[in-house]
Amino acid sequence: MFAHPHCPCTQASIGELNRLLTRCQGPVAVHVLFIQPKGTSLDWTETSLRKSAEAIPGIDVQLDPDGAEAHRFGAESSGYLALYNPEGKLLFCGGITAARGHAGDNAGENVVVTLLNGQNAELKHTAVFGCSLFNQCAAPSK
Amino acid sequence: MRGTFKMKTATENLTGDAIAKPVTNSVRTLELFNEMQQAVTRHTDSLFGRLMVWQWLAAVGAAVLITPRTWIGTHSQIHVHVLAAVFLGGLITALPVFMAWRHPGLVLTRHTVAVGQMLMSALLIHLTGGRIETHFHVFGSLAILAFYRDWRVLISASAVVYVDHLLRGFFWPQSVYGVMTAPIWRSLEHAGWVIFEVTFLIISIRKSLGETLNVAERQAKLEDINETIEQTVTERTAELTREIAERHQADESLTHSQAQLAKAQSIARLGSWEWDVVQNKVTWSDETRRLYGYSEHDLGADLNHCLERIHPEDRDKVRLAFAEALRSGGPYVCDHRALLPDGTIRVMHGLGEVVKDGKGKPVRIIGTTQDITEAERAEAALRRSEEQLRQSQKMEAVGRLAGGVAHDFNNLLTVITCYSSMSLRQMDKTHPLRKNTEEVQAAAERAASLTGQLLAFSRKQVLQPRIIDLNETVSGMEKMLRRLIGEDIELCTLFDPEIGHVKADPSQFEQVILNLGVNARDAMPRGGKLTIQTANVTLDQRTRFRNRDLDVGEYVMVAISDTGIGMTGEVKSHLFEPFFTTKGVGRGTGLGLATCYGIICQSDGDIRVYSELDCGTTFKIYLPRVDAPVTPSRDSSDLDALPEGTESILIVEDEAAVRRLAASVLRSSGYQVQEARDAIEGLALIHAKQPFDLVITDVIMPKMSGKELYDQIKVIAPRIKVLFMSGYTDDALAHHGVLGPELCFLEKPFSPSRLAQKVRDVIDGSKGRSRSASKPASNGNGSLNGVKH
Repeated sequence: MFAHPHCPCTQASIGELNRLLTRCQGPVAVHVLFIQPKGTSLDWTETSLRKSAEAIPGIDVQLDPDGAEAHRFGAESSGYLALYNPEGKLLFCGGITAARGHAGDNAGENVVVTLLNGQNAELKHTAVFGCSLFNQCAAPSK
Repeated sequence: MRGTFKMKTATENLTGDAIAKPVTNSVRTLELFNEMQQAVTRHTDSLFGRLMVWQWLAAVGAAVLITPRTWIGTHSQIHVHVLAAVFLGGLITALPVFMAWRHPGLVLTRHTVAVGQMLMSALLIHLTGGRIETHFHVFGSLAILAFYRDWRVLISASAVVYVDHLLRGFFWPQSVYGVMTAPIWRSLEHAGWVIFEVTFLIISIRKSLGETLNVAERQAKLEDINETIEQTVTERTAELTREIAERHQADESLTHSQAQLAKAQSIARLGSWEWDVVQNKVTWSDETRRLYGYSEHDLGADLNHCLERIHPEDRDKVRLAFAEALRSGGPYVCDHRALLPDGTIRVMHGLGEVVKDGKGKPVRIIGTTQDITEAERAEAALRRSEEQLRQSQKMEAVGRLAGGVAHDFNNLLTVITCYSSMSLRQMDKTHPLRKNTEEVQAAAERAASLTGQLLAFSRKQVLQPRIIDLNETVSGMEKMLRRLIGEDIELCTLFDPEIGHVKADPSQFEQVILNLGVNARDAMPRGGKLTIQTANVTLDQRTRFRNRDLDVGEYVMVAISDTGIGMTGEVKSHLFEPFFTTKGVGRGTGLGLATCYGIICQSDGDIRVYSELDCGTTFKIYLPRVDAPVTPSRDSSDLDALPEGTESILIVEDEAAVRRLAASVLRSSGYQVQEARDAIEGLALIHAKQPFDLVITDVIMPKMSGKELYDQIKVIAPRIKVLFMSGYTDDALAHHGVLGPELCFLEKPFSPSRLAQKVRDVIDGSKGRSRSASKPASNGNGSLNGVKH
């Protein structure tokens, strides 16, 4: 998951991530990357959102300096989640909240849980509700 | 307008489908219902006024808190939701808050509030990204709007909610549902839940309105009851006030009556009392307490204690009267004397009535006591007055008899006296008839004296008073008195050198002293002491003796005291009555003291007697003191030689013998005398003949009296002098026997010399008014009044 350290809507995405992990049966490696745009300090990334993510057990929280990784994975909005199988195949990408900052059941979360439980899912992509990760890029919906 | 509107609203609510209970006909119930509903509406308006402001602030706060800024990479800006919360929320809030603030209670206000509240719900839903939880705000708002208890408000709100969900769900589902797309049924589902809630809210409103109506009805009934109670209280209060006023008036009337009764008792000096025979307690009214001089502590005392105020000599009489009343059951009647604490004795008239119990046993005596002291005094005074009247009538009868006798008798005595005197003048001392003639003359003089006394005590004599000094008068009599009382009796005189003058007829006063001196002599047959004292006396209060009052003033007193045998009270009570005598037959006429009393009383004085048996008697004569100087007196003793004159004299006298006698005497003295048988003839002579120098006229004559003749002469010939002669005038000439200073008078019987002297005096104009009567003379046996004391 890629997150903007200051996006208020991503709090719901972090919350949904925490919840869906409790519903998974198999081992899963979770990485949450908080972008650190160029010219920003580490303090800029030390937000309550990052602390919330770091508080979830089993999650690897890292910084993504200048959004390099986000560019690699094609993430544009905060809360963008990409799920890969062990073979490196992209199973799903998109948001895991039903609306902006709206926690609760949603299609993206259900797809992720289904896939993590070894089942197939037809939906491969959902909308992401969050702030834009890059200056030049606009968020899908705000 | 607002009231009418409110009433219409309430009526609509009552008659509408929200009211299940039948509409009451009570106007007051409707009024109360409308008042309550209006109060709820205004309260809810106020509630929403505050709530919407708070919601607005909360929306702004939430937007600022949740999405204060939006980020694009490293760039951020104020989130559009914050702006929407501030401005759109403010816009939605402003109008309802204004209406709730400025126009609470209006239907428009609550519909504005309803629409605003629903729009605020829509805004909040949008601000929270269409969170389903935020939709609860819609239901909460509907519930609060139900506070209005107006189903139309819920309809307005529901309509707004439905339209909002429908439009936004169709055009902007993310705003209302937080999703990119939403089916139409989702809006219908939301509307359904809203209708579900509103339905039950309307039911609740109906019940609430019904309960409010019940409360209004109960309130109306309560007010009705209160009004009835208040009216009852008011009426009862008025009745109580009236009763209190009537009672107060009755109390005042009672107090007034009691005061009147007390005043009446006080005026009548009539007190009431009651003796409780069983408990032996006596109670009484204030007047009774005053009458007997009881103290406040005496009230309720026993009878014996109360009887202490009864005069000791009358207590047994009162006890007997009470005992008799109790025994017989008859009235208690008892006059008695009360002895007051200050020693005063009052005469009381007691009356009472016995009260018996059912068995006929006396238990109480209720009665009255009246102070009849004054009545007793008045009765005594009346008795004295009656006695005085009888005395006066007796005196009047005697006086009338004396006057009748005196008039004719004096004429006869005049003839006898004059002819005997004239005869004696013509006889030498050896004439054999001289002795007889002298006896005749002496008898005539005694008869004249008796006549004079008769006139004196009956106060019919003519007094010729003048100012005299009683010291001189009494001292002038000392020689005669010593000869009269004899050698066994010592005569002592105590004269006050500062004695005042009195106005009295000196010869009559001498007669009084002589009479009292003779009586004193008779009271001291074995000798003693006769004291005559004069003094000035001042009476500083009105005094009474023998029914005769002496006013306050200055008096001259002459006291004649003897050391004789004194007299009893019985004798004293009849002392001054005519013909009352204690002397033997032939020794007293019973006229002496009556004569004294008549003379003194006729002189406006009084004579009082103080006597003790075996100790003596004192007569005190009081005569009013005058400040005038003493009138000079002249010796009127008979002259041997008759005065003569040549003047013309007319004699008017109906008694022929007297007329001829007088004419004879005067002609013999040289006068030219004409005679007339009555006043008419006299007047005719005055008119026809030459004017006379003097007219001598009788006083009492038929046709015309001497006084009327005098008045005529004063008119037709005022130069003519007039001399009256009479033995009894019957007030025709003198007022109450006192002759006026301008009149000349010759008392019958007279002697030739007295007639001649008087005529000469009148013609000469000198002392014409001097009395021509002789000095007082005894009645032959030396006792003039016949009372021996």
